[in-house]
Amino acid sequence: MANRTRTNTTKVEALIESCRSEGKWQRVIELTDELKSGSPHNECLANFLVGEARLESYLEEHAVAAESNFGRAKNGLAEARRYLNLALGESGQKAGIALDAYLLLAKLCYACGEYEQSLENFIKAELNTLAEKELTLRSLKILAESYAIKGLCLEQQAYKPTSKFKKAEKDTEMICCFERASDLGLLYLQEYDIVSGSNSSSNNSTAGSLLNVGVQQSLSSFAISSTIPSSSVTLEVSRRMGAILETALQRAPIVLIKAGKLQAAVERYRIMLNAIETRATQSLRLTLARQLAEVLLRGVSGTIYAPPFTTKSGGSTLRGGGATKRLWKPRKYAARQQFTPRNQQEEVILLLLIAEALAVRDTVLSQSPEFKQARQHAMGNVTAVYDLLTLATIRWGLVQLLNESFEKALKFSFGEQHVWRQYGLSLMAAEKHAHALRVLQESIKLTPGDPLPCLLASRLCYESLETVKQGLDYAQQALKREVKGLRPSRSQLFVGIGHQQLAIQATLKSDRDSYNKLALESLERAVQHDGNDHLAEYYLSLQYALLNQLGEALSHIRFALALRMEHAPCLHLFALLLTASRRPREALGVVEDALHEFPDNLQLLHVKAHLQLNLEDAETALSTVQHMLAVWREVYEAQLAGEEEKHSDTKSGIHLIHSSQMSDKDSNSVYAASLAAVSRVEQALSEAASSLSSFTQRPGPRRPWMLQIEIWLLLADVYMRIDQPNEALNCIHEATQIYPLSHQIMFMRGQVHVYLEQWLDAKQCFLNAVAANPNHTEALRALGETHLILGEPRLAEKMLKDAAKLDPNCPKIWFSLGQVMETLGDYNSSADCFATSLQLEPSCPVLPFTTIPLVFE
Amino acid sequence: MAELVKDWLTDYQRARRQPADSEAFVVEHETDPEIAEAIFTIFSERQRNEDLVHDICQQLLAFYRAPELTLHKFPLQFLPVLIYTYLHAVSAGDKKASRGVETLLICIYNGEVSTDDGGQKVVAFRMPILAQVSVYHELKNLPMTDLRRWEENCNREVKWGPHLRIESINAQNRMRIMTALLFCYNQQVSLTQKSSLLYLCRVASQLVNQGFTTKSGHGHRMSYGSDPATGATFPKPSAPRIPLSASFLIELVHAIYYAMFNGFGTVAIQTLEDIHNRASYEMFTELILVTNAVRNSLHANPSGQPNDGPMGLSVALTPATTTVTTSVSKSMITNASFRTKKLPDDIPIQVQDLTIPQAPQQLASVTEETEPSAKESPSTKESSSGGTRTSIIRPSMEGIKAQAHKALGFKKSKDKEKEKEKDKEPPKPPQRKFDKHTQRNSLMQLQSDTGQEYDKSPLSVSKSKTYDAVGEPQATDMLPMQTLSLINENGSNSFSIDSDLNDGIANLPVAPSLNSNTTSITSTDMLTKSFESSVEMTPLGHSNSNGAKLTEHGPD
Repeated sequence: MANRTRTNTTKVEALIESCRSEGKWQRVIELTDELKSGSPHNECLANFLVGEARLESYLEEHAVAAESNFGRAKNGLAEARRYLNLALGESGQKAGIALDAYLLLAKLCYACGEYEQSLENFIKAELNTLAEKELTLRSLKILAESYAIKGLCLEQQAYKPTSKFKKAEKDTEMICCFERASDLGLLYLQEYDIVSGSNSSSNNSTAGSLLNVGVQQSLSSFAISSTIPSSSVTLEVSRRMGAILETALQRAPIVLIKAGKLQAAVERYRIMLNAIETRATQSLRLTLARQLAEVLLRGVSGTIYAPPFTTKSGGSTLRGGGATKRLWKPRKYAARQQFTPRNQQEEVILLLLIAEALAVRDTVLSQSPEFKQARQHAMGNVTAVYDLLTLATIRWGLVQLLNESFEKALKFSFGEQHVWRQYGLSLMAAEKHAHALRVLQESIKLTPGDPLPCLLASRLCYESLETVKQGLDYAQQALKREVKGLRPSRSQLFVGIGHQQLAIQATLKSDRDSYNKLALESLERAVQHDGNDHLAEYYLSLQYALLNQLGEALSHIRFALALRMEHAPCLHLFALLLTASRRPREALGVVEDALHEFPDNLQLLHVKAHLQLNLEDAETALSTVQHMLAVWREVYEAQLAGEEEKHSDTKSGIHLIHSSQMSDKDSNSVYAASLAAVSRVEQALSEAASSLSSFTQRPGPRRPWMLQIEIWLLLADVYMRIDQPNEALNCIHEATQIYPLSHQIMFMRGQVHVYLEQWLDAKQCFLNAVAANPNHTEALRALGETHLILGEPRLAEKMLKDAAKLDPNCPKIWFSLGQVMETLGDYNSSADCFATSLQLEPSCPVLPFTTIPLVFE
Repeated sequence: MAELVKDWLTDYQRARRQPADSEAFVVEHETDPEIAEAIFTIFSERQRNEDLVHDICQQLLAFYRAPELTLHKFPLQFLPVLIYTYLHAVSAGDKKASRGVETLLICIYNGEVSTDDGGQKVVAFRMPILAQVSVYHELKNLPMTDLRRWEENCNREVKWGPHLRIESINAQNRMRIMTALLFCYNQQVSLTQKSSLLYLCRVASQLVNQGFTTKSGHGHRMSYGSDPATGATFPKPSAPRIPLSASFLIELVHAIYYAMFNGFGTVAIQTLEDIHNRASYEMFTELILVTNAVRNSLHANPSGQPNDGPMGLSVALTPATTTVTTSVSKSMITNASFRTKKLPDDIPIQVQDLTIPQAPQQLASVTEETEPSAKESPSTKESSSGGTRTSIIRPSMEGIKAQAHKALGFKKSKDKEKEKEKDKEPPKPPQRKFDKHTQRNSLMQLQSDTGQEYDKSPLSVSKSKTYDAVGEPQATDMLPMQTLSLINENGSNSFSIDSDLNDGIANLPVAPSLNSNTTSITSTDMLTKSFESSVEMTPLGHSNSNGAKLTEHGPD
């Protein structure tokens, strides 16, 4: 209760002290006048205070240590220098302020760019010999800044030590300065928060120690008086720290890295981040967390990493005398059950998550122009974190995490093309197709000159959303954007694919012809643009195959294979083309060779089974199909099991194991859903089916299960060839368990009834199949044939004509139609039909060309 | 070069025969940087040195199997080059020539995916989440939404592996094996010689660029349509494109990223561009994500460029000190201005709080961030201190408050407010009109308030609070947000949007320069009180006197 003595001076001094710690320098100068008038022996102290106030207020207004400002700083600070010099002398020693004065003088010299002088002042102040003890707030700041400045001066000093030893010594000193500066700086900020947090009118006892100081006790002659509510609200939070301290805090680990002490630098970052945060360190912590993550990502590979805080020795790097209870160290986070990273990935991701939370909080939503700078700064901070997060997580398949981050980011990312694009890409990678398309649409708008988002959107439409028309639009848009002509071939190719798919889907002959023409043109152009693109060659070959120009098709598939020897779809198409050219044995050879390279490729196995069925006996085909089931289990069961937890993250484990299969898993359909309508019907039916009470949807994505159905049906087919209809029925039953409403199952069941000569049942099955999918030509043909056997040739004619319209290249349809016409007595037509059938038969592949799924790689 | 490598080959052969020499060889080998350089050169000119390449591969294999650790690690630095050599040969259809390399790669792969005791190696880590405190953060200062995030993933493991050993490489498993090998390379990359990073970059560029040069490929177009049916040999492009997978290239980007910040900035950035082009061409979404991220971080600071400093790190000062003036930041809406939080589950708790009379002198110690344990008390303090000032705000914000409360579902709030106004003058009966009185009162208070603030500014304001103050122009637009914004922070009430809003508006007519903080407390307080009945008469009395005391102290 010393200041209850009520002498005027002490009251003023108390006020001054509080103003000092808050940085109200103008007020300090005013009060100093009072102080001087109060008692003349305070002259020296007053000089010191005025000098300090002038220095600090100047530095607040002018940036420190910008080269160009040195001259101006010298003028601006002349007054302050004079006062501080006055405060030195004998009387200064007596008053116990000489040390502070030296330190401030050093700061002043630093601001003027006089590094050598600054260092001299530190020597005079005997900065190195100070003992750790309790300090007042202002002294703490002065001391922290002093160490910081000394470090900065040493770093910028012109004089370079010649000997290696000297240099090392100097480096060590500099590093030590920065480390102390960072420790003290953090401590100061922590103390500041406590003081400003807890100052209540009752707590003013410390003020008593005022001016009671000898030299050795004398870091500052003032203790904080907290009588007066201290925090000025207008005080900028960041001003509390100041540029010098902030620089030193960030500089400390950087100089360590420069000195080649990577591990020590990492440790320094960790110590700083482990210190309890304060209000002033928020943005600093963001920077530090990001930088530590950067260091770990850029400079530390798995083997040299050492996890943090494994040795619980306390202040692990500084040797600041373990015995003293670390007065000059910042307080650390201490809580039970803290998460302590054990390896690099954990630490990086943890840091980035924290940095993200901090950065996101400060992002600016106001769009008005006066905030532009602040907004861009905050945006820069947050995207920097996102970029690192992307780098750190994608490798581990944690797309989902990224996804969520970007989703949150949209709130403040209006018009930020980078965030939008990354979001779209992450959605695509996370296989959220429809959502991804929406985001890509925005991205397309934001980058009007870039074809990439258009192409991505186009691919999404073709591959996953089955909206070919829309996809074609995007592809054409991409093509338009290829002004620089860097690689226009891909856009061109995508346009071609779109036309090709439309041609396949078209039901009107005129439409189909025009689409085919367009497809051929674009694909030819794509091949011309990029002669090394196997994919363009492949699609061109497929186009020729679909047009029944097998010679051309064969030559182009050979080009494609020359460009990429091991490309499963190319080999697949090649095999089919060979069967269409009456070279089935060669085709089987090709397939078998291809299977050496792609042992788990179900499409190739499927072709193999069909070829074996026709060329060899059914038993070998049977073993092939059984092998297919085994492969299915091996490839997809793990994936489906993994699906359970996939919603939360990823296929991480599987991601790498099956990456080769994963890449094409979406297109790994045996009977490719080449008709978009078909799969949409399937979709609708599966939804209907899931509403049936008896039916439970299998877990996981649909595609693998559809694949399994297809294998079962193939197996059923094989069993019928070896006259085991019961086995076939069992297979169908298995397929029904997965998904009862598939038109293919209905069709196959009909086939079994045909085999058993149960015509009415067969007819019903085929009718169901056609109802489910009116474009299923095989069902139509089978229905026609059944009608014919049941003595309904008119109906048969109708069905077969529909089928022929849909697929004019199928000889079987024409043959059946010929039979029907014969029954109807229309022999001319019948002859024509048989002739067509005969003509088509040699060029008919063992499976339709459209069974090859879409491929983009 | 070739001589050097030949010596190296023979030296080791000799050393192996005599165990005594072997040790010397190891030591010598460790200190000799030239040999690696020479091997890299041989590989880049492998056409001329095919036999030598084969011998080198054999020797590297012997090294890899050697018990000495330095020898064992030595071959790993050549992995990128070996992978390139192998993939190049395969894509050119020249598998026979690459048998040696292939064997070496298979052996290294089998070795790397196994642990020392023959099990399967798994690299795993726990997924960190913010909901658990860590050595780097506490819960109290992070937004709730972030803390909640991924809560369900607590300590879930993310794994690399286990990988099966392989006997042969085919088209199906090739990229997977190469990816795993590159992953292992990345684990060791900081142990390799710096110079090997240069070769890494070169080789990576070759991997992704081969077959993409504009001129090549037109050669074989000449033979177009000549005689395709014969199936005669087709002229092959000199260097066909090398098929690559996205995950392989992602590992490659990581390696390049390391090189970029360890002395090979320019080369690595060019290589990254190459990879990005390939990624865009193939449309590998995950890879594009990564390359985009790295490229963006190079374009846009503050992540820093390789030449900005060691590892691209540099000091990034907060610009707030110089650029953003206080007046601007006040009206700026940041993400922190929003707190989407639940309505309090249990409203009556606060009634209990308020019944505890608070020491009036603690007015100045409202600090949200540093005193988590005192969470309960600040609110009560706020309320007690703010009580006197409510009347100033009342006239201007009555309408908005009513609206807000309707949105929040407190139908009775208006009534309660009225009650509260009545509470101002405890002795008066509830029915009495008191408008005049309030007005008079408010004027008085205005004076005392402003005076107090200019001089003393008794409340320390956190940054977030400052941002909380929403400026006038935005205020009207913001109204719909109010539904989100009622807050219950750890059970105690704190600042919500509408309270901020209100003070934004309330401030204006009263005193534009008035610090928003005090009023924000007031309005929060009002909100709080509107939940309650008239129980809080006693504290109000206190606060009244408290306010008076403060004004006396003010000019002190």
